[in-house]
Amino acid sequence: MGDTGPVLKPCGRLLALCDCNNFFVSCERLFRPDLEGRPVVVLSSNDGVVIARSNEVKALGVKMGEPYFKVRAFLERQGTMVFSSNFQLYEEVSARVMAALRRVTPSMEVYSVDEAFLELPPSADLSPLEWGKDVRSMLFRETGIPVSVGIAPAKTAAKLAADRAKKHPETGGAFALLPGEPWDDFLLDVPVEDVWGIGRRWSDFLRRRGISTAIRLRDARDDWVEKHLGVRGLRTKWELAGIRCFSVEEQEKPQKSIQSSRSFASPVRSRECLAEAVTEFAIVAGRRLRAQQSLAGSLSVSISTSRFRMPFYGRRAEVVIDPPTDSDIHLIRAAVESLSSIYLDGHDYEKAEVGLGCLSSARRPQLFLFPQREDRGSALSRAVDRLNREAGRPLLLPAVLLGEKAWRPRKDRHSGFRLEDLEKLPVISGEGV
Amino acid sequence: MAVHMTRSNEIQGSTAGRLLDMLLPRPSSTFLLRCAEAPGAILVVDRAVPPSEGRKAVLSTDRGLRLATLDSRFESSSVWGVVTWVIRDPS
Repeated sequence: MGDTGPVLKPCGRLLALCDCNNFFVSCERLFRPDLEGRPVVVLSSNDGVVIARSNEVKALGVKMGEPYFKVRAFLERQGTMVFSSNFQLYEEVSARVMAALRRVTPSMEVYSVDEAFLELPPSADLSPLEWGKDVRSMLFRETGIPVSVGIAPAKTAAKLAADRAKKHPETGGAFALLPGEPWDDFLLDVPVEDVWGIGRRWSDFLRRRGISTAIRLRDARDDWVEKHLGVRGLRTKWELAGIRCFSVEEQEKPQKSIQSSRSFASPVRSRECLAEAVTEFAIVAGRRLRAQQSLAGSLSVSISTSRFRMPFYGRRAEVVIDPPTDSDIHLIRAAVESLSSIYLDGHDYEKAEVGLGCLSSARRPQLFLFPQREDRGSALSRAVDRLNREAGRPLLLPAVLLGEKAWRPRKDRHSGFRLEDLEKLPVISGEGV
Repeated sequence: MAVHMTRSNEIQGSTAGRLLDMLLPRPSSTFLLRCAEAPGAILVVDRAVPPSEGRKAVLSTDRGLRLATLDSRFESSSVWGVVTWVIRDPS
C-alpha cells in the first residue's frame, strides 16, 4: 500500500473522548466528600482484586487487578477506604453522565460505562479546547463526576489527548491535538503500548523492532504495518496522523455472544447449589439477550474447581437451542441440562459460567403464521424484565433463587447507595427540614 | 421503588409524568437524599441550581454531606447542591 495522501485527507471535523476519572471511585466519593484527597479503592465482586484506584492509591504504586489479600495490610496502613463494587450505582451514575453529554453533541458513541466519543458541534465562538473545558465543568457541576476530555480529529489521537489531560492536572482536564498543529513532540513522549488498540498484544513485537513510541508507529511504513498488524493496525497508524479511520458509532452494536459468570464466595459441592448458580447466570444472560433484541441459538455451561488446588476439574458443555429463543424458561432448562452432563460429585467448584451463542435478531420477520408456544415464555420473560426494571431490583425470580445463598458474592464493604431506589438513598445529617 | 429520572418511559405526558417533570426538571443533575434528622422525608437536590442566601443546601464538609441553610458568608465551592423540594412524611 502506497501513500495515503490521495485517498484520505486529514479531516477538519473534531471529536472528543470524555473519560470519567477513576470512575468507580468517583461514584463512591459522590456522597462522601470526606474521602476527597484520601486513598480509595473499589474491589471486584467477592472483594477479590482491586478494580478502581483513586489517584492517591495510584501514587502509592498499587496496580490495577492486584489481589486484595496481597495489598490489604499496606492499604490499611495508608488509611485507605475500601469499597465492594456497587455496580448498580455505577450504572445509574453512568446513565446520567451519558444523558448530560448527549445534550452537548450532535452525535455520540457510548464506548464503555465511563467513556464516550462525542462529535464536536459546529461552533464559531468557542475554540475546541474551550468547548472541552466547558463540557468538563458542566458535567462536574451536574453529575459530580470529574472527567478528562481529549480532542482530536481521530479516536486514537483523542484517546491519547484524554490520557494527557488525565495525567497532567496543569491541562485543566482537557487537551487538544488539532489538525495543522505539530503533534511530533507529543507523540514522541507516548510509549507505543499506550496507543489505543496496540496494548500488550503488539507492543512487545513493535518494541523488538525498535518501534517504542507512538511517533515511530506513525512514521512506520504502511505496507510493513499492514503486513504485521493487519488493517486494524494500519488504521491505528493513520489515526496517529490525524486521519479519521474509526467513526463515531452511534448505534450500539449487539454483542456476538453473551457471558455471565462468577467465582463463588465459598466453594460449591452439591449439584443443587450449582444448579441454582447456573440458573441465576442464565437469567442474567437472558436479560442482556433481550435488552439487545437477540435470540440465542446455543447455550454453554462451564464449571471448574480452583486452579490452585489439585486435582483440578473443569468441563464445558454446549447445547443447540432450536428454534432460537430469548425465553428464560428455555434458557434455564438448557443450562441445567448442560450442567447435569458435566457435573461430577465430590469436587469443590469455584466458578461457573453460562454463555449464549449463535445470536440472531429477535426482530426478523415472523416466520410462522401462528405464534408458537415458545413465544409465551418470551413474553413472560419480557414482562419480568419490565417489572424488575421498574422495581429497581429483582422482584420476580425463580423460587430456587429466593433467600440467602452461600455462593453469592461477598460484599462486605458495600456502600449500598443507589440514586433511583427510594429504599437505598444516601442519608445525610444536619438541621431539621 | 425505583424512580427512573433519566429514562424516557411510558408515563411521559401523563399526570405522573408531569409531576416528575415538576419535581425533577433536570434529571441529570437532580439527586434524592434522606436526612437523618427527618425520617420519612426525601430531599430533592439539584446540583445545577446556583446557590443563594437563605436557601436550603447540601454542603460538602470533611465530615460528609450536611444539610444547612445558606447564610451571607457561604462559599459556593462548598455547596454540593441546592434543595429544590422537600417531600415530607405526611404524619
